[in-house]
Amino acid sequence: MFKNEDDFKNIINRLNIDDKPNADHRQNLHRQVLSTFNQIHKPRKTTWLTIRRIIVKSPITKFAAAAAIIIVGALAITFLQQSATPAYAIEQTIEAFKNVRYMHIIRRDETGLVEDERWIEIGPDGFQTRYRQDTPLHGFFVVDNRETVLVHYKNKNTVVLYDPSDQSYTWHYAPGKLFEELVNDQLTLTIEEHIDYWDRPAHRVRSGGMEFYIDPETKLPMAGGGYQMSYENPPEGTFDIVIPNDVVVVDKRPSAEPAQEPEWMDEDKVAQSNFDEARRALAAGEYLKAVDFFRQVIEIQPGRNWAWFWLGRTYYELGEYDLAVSNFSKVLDMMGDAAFCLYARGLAFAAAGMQVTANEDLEKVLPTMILALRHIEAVTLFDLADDPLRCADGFLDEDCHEGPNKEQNLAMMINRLRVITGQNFGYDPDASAQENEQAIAAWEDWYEKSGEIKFTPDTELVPIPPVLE
Amino acid sequence: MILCNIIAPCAIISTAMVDAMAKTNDRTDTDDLVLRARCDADALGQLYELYYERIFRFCVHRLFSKDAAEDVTSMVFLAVAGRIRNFPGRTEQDFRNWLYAIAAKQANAYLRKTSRRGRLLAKAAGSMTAATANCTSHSAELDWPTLYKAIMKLPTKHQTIVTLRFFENLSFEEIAKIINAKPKTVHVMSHRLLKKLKTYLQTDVDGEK
Repeated sequence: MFKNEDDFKNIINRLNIDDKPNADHRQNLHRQVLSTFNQIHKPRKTTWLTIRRIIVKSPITKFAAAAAIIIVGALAITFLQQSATPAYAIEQTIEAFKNVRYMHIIRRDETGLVEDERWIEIGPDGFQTRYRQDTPLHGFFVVDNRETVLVHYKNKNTVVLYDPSDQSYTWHYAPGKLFEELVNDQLTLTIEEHIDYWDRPAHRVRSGGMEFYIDPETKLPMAGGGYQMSYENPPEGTFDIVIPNDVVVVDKRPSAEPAQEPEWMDEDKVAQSNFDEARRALAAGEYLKAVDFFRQVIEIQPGRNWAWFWLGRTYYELGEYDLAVSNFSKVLDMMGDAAFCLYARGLAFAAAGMQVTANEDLEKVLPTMILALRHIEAVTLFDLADDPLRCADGFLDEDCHEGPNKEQNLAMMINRLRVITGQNFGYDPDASAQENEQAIAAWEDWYEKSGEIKFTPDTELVPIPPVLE
Repeated sequence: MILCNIIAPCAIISTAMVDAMAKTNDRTDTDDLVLRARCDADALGQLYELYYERIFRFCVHRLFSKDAAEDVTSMVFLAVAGRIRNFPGRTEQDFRNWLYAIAAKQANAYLRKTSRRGRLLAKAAGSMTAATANCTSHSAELDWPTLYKAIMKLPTKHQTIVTLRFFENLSFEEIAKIINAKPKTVHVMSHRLLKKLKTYLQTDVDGEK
């Protein structure tokens, strides 16, 4: 054996490890690297502005704008189900959260650069009070001190001041009560104790798409939804409204004098109009027109996740599965592992013949879909993903229609399950409640025992029940 | 309303640059390449050619399999292509550290999937059997599959240190920057890890005897 470091290195040198690269791989990758670089860095007609007022106003995209962690949490939270899992960690976490005043969350990209950093002040009632978000990835910065909301569009060199009631970055769920709600709602959680989280001891709490890593010492989550979390006091001045020098300031607070808005803000209106047009085109099957309009939206608002998503859907309809995958991947980058998007990407991979990769996505989303059979009201984003003309804040105001009712939604979820599993447990909207209960129980039982993905696009589908007036 | 300076993203990069400039009067051509690569595909292509082999080799040493190493090397350079615009470093050394940090993370992420780790270990075990069968005389000399299996018994972060230090011959300072630790910690860890590996290997060899 070796005596010291030098000796060990000498032995390694004599190992004759076959680490000679393959020339074809080297050449192909060279091409891909340059192509990726050119694609990403090609000059844009407009610079990034990302999260716009209208997007933030939407209850859907609000997730992406303000509560990326809770995306996953919120989706999963409400449709989890009671089971006999150990409650130790959750109750301790609830208790620990009572003493939390600040949350500091950071997401880094795979290269270690900060993509998104947020400070959230939590009031005694568990709800957010002050808030700060810095998203260098999109040149986007927000401070909400509850009197004023400052939004700095860095690439536009513009600061817009809003009244908090007009522009809200409030979290969808009370961050301090997140885990309390899990228990109050009698939800099922899988708790794995003493696991390794990037070389740190942790407990993992998960169900469906939700996954938190709990610090065994503090009992607080230290990671979840792609974010690292900590609970230290923020540096002084974190929530101060500070206007940088040499920026254009647009004051939209009620107390301010009406001022002329910079030209780029008009682009928002153009983007909105194109977005509505694109959705109509998609719903009408005019796919090439939809592609054109969605691309125009993205050109102006690269942070508009639903434009990316439906562009992916449009490519899917056109049979351009690789483009569909690339668009869905973009949405997943922006929103974390959003269940509806994992499902869409899984289908696109499967349609492209990449079954193994498809299965990875579909296996991830399957538990959420099974749990949704009992809590269907919590998975409305699946429906919105399928129906671009559904009413939602900030979307088509005039000719949108309401989303499906509970029965319709459930039948649609059963159909999605049938497509990705090839299973059919006799669920029928016309059958008795008892028979359908048996069908749902059969799905749950199958999931426990097998849960095998089998892409079956020609499976028999459940008829969607009509709306009864 | 308080008025003061908030630094824009590009200005943050500039601040880092100013810090770096103070100590980089002797800039090399490759340093300039790093700066140009933010907006020049040709410069990025040259950096790729300079570093492809090193990163591929690192990946082989971390992952045992050349196929897996190709996958991870691809992920590393595609990530670089996507992110270099925001890369705040200024010198070749900064770039190298960044590249290794990405490679280390991607390799660990690859290994984190138990099924993949299982396959790699099985492959190592297979190679070990083949290596033994091909031996004409029994040698006490270590072979690569045996060493790889021993390294894989360590926590992932420690595996990274072993590879960077003993296979890639990086300094403690460089490794410290890559894994975000103190040089002294890396120094101490390296020493301990070497002892640990020796124990694992001795146990394996004794077990075989």
